[in-house]
Amino acid sequence: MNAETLQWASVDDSWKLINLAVQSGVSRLFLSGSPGVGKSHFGAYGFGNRPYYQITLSEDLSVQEMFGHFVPKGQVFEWHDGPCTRAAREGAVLVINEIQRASDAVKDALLGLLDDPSVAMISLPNGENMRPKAGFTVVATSNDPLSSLDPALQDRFEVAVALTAPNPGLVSKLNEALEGLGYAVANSFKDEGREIPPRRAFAFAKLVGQGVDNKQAAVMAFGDRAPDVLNALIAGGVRV
Amino acid sequence: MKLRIRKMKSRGSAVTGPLPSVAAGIGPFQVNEGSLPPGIGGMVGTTVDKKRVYHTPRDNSPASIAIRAHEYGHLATNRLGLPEDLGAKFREAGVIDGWNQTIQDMLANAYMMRNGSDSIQNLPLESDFPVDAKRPEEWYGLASYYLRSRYLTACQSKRNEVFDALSLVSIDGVLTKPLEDAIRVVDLIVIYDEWKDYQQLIDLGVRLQTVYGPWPVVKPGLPGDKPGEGSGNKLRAPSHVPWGSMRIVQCDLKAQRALRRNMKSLRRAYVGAFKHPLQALAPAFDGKAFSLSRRVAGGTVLVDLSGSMDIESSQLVDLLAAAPGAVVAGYSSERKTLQSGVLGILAANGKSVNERPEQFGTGNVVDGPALDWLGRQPEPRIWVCDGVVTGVDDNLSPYLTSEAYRKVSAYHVTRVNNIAEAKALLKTKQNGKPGLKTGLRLISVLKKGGV
Repeated sequence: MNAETLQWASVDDSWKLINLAVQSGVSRLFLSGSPGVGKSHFGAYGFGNRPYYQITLSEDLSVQEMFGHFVPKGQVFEWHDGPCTRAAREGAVLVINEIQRASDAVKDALLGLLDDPSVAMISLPNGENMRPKAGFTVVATSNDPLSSLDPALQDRFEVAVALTAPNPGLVSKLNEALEGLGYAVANSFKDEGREIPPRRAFAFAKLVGQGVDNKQAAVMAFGDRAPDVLNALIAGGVRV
Repeated sequence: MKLRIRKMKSRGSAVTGPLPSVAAGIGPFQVNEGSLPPGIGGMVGTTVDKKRVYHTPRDNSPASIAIRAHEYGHLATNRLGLPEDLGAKFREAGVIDGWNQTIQDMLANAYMMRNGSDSIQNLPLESDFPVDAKRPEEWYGLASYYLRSRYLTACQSKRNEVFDALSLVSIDGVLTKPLEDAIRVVDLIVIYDEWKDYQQLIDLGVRLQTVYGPWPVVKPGLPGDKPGEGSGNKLRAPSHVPWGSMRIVQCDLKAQRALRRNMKSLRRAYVGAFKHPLQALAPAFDGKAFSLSRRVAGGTVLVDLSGSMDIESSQLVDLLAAAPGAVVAGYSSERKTLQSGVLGILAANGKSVNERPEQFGTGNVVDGPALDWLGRQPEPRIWVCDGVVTGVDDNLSPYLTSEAYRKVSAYHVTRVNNIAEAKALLKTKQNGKPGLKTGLRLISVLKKGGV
């Protein structure tokens, strides 16, 4: 989502769109953006005090781990809900990180979970037909854009927002860690592909806060980019 | 902004991810790497289709890091309030791009250094620069190099060389003073965040160009041009600025000056009438057994009363009181024109004015003729002036400056910057200390006599 599109919509920050979506009761969100912009953080804390479950997908993760399976208990096998089932049953927030890394089987299984709430139903192997409780919300995150998913899965999300800047809360925390650092990191996102990774920025602030020489801290945190990042931070008004 | 550097080869591969948006606070930037025009190390700017461009070498050699840091500095100064079209404003004031570039380079380096980026110190500058300060047409290159090389450790020795060369041809430091003034202006802008007050930079550019050139050649006016119009440039070639004509006026000297009390007072000394015999018993006493009349500061004091000196009436009266035996005169342009000037006697023969007379204008215009007048008056001669001299239309010129300082030297004039310095100097002269040579000679005589 480029700056012109946001400007056309009279929005200067893509995070405002997400907040609007949450306030409007949207229950299936797809967030994409660079590592560290605060996608997962938003999934966990962007819905106030609502309970949430978080799962990070990979090729090896199976459908059973996500939806549930039988586990032996004494002489019998008992059904054990996976995080997806549990979140749906409780009407909680389910944060699915790195959705693009999931296996095809998991992606297929997610189609049912992400169906419109009025028709969504999960038939579990224990014979239960479970309907998600009201309030069940799914936030899927990815470093890749929505178009990297197959069309059926794309279609399941009500809202897809490409995040072009770090979360304002993250910016504030970086500023607290080192004056001006949050703004500098936010500005770095204006140059796509050359962003200062927020996690590295936190590490840099931590090292400097511990009294490490700022050049040495920059090399540890940013590698070969250290001279550029440090000088750009200084020019950007960061009190290094 | 373009950074002029010596020819430099990129060492190593591109390993960096420049972050111009962080420095500029806006983005995106198109980051380019590769060949720039010869002599250009890096540049930031906007293309015709409004794309922001950041063009620098991308390897991590000290010089390349410094160039990138320098360009970040330029972006930072724009973020802080320096107009992006500052070059156009300089051109409107008749200042060449070279001075705009020099001043902005100074600001970028000063900002980065002040905020902790010592990478700037490795910034490469061109190694070829003029060294003959005796030729005024080379002053521009020397002065520009001196200012741009500030903070750059690799250039320190050349910087000293430039300063020495300019010092040699300057009189009373007047040729090097604008350099120090320029550094002070830039430092103050960086320290006090006065980025939006760019007018002082324009003024600085005008002054630097006036003193060091390059001076445009004033073409003869074409038929139909108004008087004074030639090439249309506001700055004149130095040889075209003459002194204004000067008239001498007698001001209304109403006040009686307190001369007698000071003239009668005596002071103990090593020479003079033998009035304090007890003091001769060295080492119990200091040997000042003689007595001399206190000297009253005589001679002549010439005061620059132009606007730049900002001398108020009360300050002038203080000065007159501090120089009871001296002839004091003031000068400036006429009140209503900058084509000529006026010199007024403010104090003489025991009488003085009791306030600043109204004849004086805001410009200098007649520093040269006024110094000629001073040269004909009794010594010691003191000139109260900030060192800035001008000719017709209050125009600066290095030739006028040189001429003025030749007069200072030839007429044995002591220049002081302001009233406070003048009063301090007059006080020293009034105390009339006998001087080291006299003292040593007397001590020698006393020893020979067995005292």
